[in-house]
Amino acid sequence: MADGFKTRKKALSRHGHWIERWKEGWAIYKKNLLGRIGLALLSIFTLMALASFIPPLIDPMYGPMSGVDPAITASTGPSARHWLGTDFMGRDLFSQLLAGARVAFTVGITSAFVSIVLGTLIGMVAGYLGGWTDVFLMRAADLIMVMPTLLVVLILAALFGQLNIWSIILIIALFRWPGVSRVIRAQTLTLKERPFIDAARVAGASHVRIIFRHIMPNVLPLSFLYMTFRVTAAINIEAALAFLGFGDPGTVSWGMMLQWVWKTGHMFKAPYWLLPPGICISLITLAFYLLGRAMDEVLDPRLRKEGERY
Amino acid sequence: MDSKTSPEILRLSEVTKTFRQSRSFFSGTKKIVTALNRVSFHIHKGEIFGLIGESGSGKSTAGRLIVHLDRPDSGKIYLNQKEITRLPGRAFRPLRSRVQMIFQDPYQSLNPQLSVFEAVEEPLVVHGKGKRARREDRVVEILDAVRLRPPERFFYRFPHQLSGGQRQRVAIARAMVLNPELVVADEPTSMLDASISIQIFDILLRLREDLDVTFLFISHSLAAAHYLCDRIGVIFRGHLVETGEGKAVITRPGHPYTQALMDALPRFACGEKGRRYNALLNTRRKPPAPSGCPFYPRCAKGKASLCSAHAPPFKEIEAGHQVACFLAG
Repeated sequence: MADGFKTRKKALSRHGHWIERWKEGWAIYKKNLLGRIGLALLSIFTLMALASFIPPLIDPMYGPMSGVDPAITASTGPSARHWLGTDFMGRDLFSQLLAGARVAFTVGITSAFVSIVLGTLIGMVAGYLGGWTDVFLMRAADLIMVMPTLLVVLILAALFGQLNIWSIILIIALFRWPGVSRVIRAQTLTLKERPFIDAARVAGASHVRIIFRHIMPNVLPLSFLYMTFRVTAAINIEAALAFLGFGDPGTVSWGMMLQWVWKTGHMFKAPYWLLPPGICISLITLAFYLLGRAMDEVLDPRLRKEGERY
Repeated sequence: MDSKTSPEILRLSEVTKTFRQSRSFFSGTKKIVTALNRVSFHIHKGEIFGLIGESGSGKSTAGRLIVHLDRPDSGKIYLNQKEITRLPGRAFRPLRSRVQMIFQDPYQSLNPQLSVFEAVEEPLVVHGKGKRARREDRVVEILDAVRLRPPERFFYRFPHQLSGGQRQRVAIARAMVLNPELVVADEPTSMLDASISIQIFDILLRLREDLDVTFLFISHSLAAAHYLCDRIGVIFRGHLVETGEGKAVITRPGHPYTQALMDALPRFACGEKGRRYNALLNTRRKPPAPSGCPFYPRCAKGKASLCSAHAPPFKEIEAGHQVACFLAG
């Protein structure tokens, strides 16, 4: 067989397995109504986050943080000039809402990603090595798990003054891995007993190789499932922090917007200001949650409705 | 195969392995299960040695000890006259390429996330054998040898896309790709249909011819052993009870347990010709003293005075055919 043919064929089929799995997964996913709703909501928020770059380009006064409408000195309701109205110093609420979507995605996805990377690694190592390593890592996980994340972040914020958004992301991530690692550890414990791990040992594979080559691909789908739930938690925590006044003062998040409403005494006077960020927080967490539930069904055939064929 | 002249590749000497079964957290009493009790046998280069026994008899444990998946409690294992029993994992790694294993269940022994090429290539990567292109050639070669043809078409298939027989052939290719000297085949066909089993046996026989490899074939089936093996060892509850040339053990079984196994084989189309040994007792006797013959409780021929008190030593009933029974011969 000619070499060229061989390599080209490989390029076509090397990742065929994953493409096929994605297609299968999508076929199951799209039958789930809640999953479709979640995905639709998420695409709306994605569009919002992408669109957040546009308003400041149109006019500097639409800058979410620093743009001030010179004609306005107090909070005003929706108008053609400001679709959702303005805040107490004349900043455009709609462009703030769009910027908030961007912050929500950044916070949610980054901290969820860091926490599942940590959780997956720790879970695999604890489950595979067992013994004292396992005891030590899992007790550490328990310790962190019982600490109320919000409270700890509040204390840290009080200690170090204003935290910037990346520190907040990192702290949330560091407090959210134990849940993931418990699940991954349990999965690793069952995988460890499967004969293909013995087969890898007979082939001469090292522990590192067994963990990354043989166990990791088998737990990764589960990690990604947990990532969607972690996103929800991260967004909520950041919003709560910001609302309580411990957010990053340099970013406009939905929690920040709520804090401004409250601080300036517009809580019950300006529903056009209070409601949009509140609704957005609820809907984006709902969207990730629905996404996770639908993915759960893709990964776990036992959750599918009886009699349904895919 | 002239096994008498060829050198010894593997020797087990008085190997014992016990497993502790902790019942539950509170009951505390630990049950000790003896999987292998002072088992000794050897395998000559180039032969297929069959280790036959019922499930739970410790035959798989013997295989796992040989490939260093478990360590024996006592006794010694020699590979090419060199003791490997107590070698730490790191020191044993270079020897890994010389002793490989085919596992029982091809549905479980292949990682569902690795393609055929990745699975078969892995031992080469681990042992640092050759550049990518060289490895590719080797994988093609070995897939061809196990009759997965054309090999390139199987490269990027995944276990779930293969039949049971194809999977087991991938597992065999994986074991063979390093050109091992000794391969432990742990019931390689117990999960497969009879017709597929014969194909697998023929592949093993051909591989022995082509690659000059020695097999330890572990099975519960005397029929399979008869088809494949040059020499057979019969194991009962962790005790080796009979070894000998394959034909001799099958046609002239000396130990009552081997005779009972022969009786258990279904026979048809041979009328009353099939000899029956009636070596198995219908009721169980009380277990003997720990020093007694392990088969005594089930043995129809056992003598209370002798068998229940003393362990029978190995006795040569004909050249190269040894039986651990007082009454044999």
